[in-house]
Amino acid sequence: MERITSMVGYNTPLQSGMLRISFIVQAYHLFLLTAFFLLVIAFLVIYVAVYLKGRRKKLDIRHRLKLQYSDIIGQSIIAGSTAELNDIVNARQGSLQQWLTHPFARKVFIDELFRASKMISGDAAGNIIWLYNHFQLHVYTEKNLHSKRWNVVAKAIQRLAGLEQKQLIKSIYRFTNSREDHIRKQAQAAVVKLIGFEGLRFLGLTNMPIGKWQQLCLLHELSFHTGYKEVQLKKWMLSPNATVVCFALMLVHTYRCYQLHDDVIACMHHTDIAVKEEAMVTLKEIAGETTSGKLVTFFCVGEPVIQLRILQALNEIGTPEELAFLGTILNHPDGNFKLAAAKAIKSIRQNDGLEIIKKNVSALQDPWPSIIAHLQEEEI
Amino acid sequence: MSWKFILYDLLSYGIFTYSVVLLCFYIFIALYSIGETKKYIRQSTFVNYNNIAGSPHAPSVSILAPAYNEAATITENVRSLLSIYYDKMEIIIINDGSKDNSLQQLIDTYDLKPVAQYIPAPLHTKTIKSIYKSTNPVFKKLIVVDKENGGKADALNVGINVASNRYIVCIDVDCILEQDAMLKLIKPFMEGDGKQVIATGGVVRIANSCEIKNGKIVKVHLPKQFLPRMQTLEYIRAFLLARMAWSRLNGLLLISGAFGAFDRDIAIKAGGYNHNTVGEDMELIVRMRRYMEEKKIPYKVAYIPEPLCWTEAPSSYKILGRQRNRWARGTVETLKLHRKMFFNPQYGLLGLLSYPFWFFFEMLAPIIEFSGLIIFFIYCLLGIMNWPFFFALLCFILSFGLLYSTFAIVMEVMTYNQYKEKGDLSKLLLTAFLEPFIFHPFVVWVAIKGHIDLLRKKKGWGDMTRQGFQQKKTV
Repeated sequence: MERITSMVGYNTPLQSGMLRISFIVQAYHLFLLTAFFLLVIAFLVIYVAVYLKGRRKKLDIRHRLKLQYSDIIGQSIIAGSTAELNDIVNARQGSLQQWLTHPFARKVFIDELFRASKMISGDAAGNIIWLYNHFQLHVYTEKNLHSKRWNVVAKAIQRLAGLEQKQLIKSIYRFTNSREDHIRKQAQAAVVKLIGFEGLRFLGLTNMPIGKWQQLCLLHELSFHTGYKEVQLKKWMLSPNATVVCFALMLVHTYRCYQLHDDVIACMHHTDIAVKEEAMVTLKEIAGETTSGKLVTFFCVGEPVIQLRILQALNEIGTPEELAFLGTILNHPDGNFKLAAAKAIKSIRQNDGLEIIKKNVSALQDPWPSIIAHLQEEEI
Repeated sequence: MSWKFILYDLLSYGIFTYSVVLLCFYIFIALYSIGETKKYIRQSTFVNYNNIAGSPHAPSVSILAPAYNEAATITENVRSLLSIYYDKMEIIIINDGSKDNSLQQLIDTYDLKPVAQYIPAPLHTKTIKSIYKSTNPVFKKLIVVDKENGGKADALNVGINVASNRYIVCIDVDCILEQDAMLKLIKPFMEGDGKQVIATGGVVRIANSCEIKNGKIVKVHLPKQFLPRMQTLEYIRAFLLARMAWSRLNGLLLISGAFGAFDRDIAIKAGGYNHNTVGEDMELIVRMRRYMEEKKIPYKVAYIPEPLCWTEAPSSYKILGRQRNRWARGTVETLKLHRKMFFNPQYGLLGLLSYPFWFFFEMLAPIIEFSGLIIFFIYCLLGIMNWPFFFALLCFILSFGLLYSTFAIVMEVMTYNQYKEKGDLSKLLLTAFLEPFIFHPFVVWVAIKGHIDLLRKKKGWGDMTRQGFQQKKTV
């Protein structure tokens, strides 16, 4: 160290300190790294240029293919019979068969058929599916179910369901409890799309969570199947999977299953707050004569959020029998509870609800002037 | 060994180690963000947001938009909010004691009348003067709150108090939202993978020079002006790389104040927005995360890598300086308030990684950089600069910076590719080249000023004058 410092003339501590760093990393190391970075930058720039060119080309090919396909798809949509469909296909048999040997062209055709099927229904949609089956395209889509890539599998499931390949439902069903999130969601939506309520069988088996978003997607798919069918709602409401219980309650709510009222009440004993909240929402829809009374019994043992929900529910389904209970809540320390109880009283006794409230509280004491003004405003 | 040697070694090795660790972090962030972005783009091809938009079971949302002296654009901005594609929502505009006629404009345009409404106020705020609702059923979603001036944090807390829905979306009133921004922002709250989502945020993009019609972006252009273009590149790096990586780690400490959604209950339990900091957006997220860590509740802060919100970036050095000054002060204030978490294992990743990263590489970075510059000048004056090594190091750092920016541009092209016009990418690359010489020194300088202002106990935002999108229309 001393030899080097004397050689280069760095003989102060400061200079020596700097030199120490330069023994760990020398200038030429840094230049080498700089050159490496510049090479990588050059590579990235070339890569982007090539990528954009390739993408533009691919988009161009896709656009041209779509123009070709739009003709056959458009005519097929309005075809009135299978014979007419055969004529349309036969007129383009040569060119179509040629295109469909190419994977990319085949993919674009399947995408276009899928896109068209989403926008139409009835016989027209049936014609699209006929086209899909005529060219045996389900064979290629089914192959993708065995891909190692989750997005390929999920897309394949989506396509098969969208193009109503009911014969493959067993293949799709085995994915309904997949550990891969998107595959599982697509499979669940697919089986419901294909066979409606019967497709919900997986609810009895799945140990994976069904999030609220997925529940809404399933409900959306169910909405295309007419009529409500007897399913195992009671069993699902006893599921150890809280999200299955929530979805079962949502089904009870949506399809107004009044006969399951007591089972929904039983869900108020569940340990999961989300289940109790969903049960509250459901009870408001299928309320009977005894609902409000039973909700009041849950008030004392419920969490604050559930207590508030109960008061808000009594606003819609409360009866005069709950007036005494609501009167006690008017003195609750939480302003939200006061307001909810006051609203419920006013809802039950529309003519003299305000007077009842004023009798039970110090109308001049904060926050009652604001609450009473609020209720009077609602009245107007 | 004398104290001089020790000091010089500490300085040299210290800065060297700091730089190496920082560069390693940047490399990690760049590579780690790829997987998350790729996953999101693939999964978004399956999601049909339209199914949920009109569903009666979709969650109700309260949009909170504080407004102060926005008379020039307030009615158009509110109209834009009212046209958001989401059924179950209320829009709460909080007039924070504007000195202009913002409120009167709203009253006249939207047929507002004062209503008596009881607000149980879990968060302490300045006095609410009046609450307005529209007599026109077309505008039934709109609520306008008039209050005493108290600052953005106070206005948002008023909004939280008034909101009646479980999820609140806090936005800047002059932001332009994408058509399905609300659906995409709310979706993570509904996913339910065992962790409670407490907040979500999305990518904020720069709207300068974009074509805007009826409150919607109709065509995206790269900003023509130099400063907004610099900020565009900066936002691409921050939103596409850094935030994606932190989101994947579940260590995100910041959701943009321009557009973010929160669980109202958790926000209230955490105490709402803090009046005593100018970085109230970051401070709320940190506090909400801290609350969940202390309660040992599994949680997540989600992030959407899609451009959901467009905002106007400062186009003058003066306004940009004020903005970055405030950001610097906000960072220091937030980190100071939550210093208990520093390397505290009780707070998991938050305390062991996120907080230290922000402390060392966001807060201290301008100070260390500025100190390095001073040391450089001292070495020059003393004639002891190792020039070959200096130039080698300079080239290395500049090339790394350029590489990082180039990578961010590549990610932008391969994901949402917003800037498609001929020459846009070349301009962005040129911007990346010029940044270390013009933009970055300015940002470091104003950050230092921010630290000085904080020591001088300066508070407040300064005048953040915006030109407004109307003047930026291009045909």
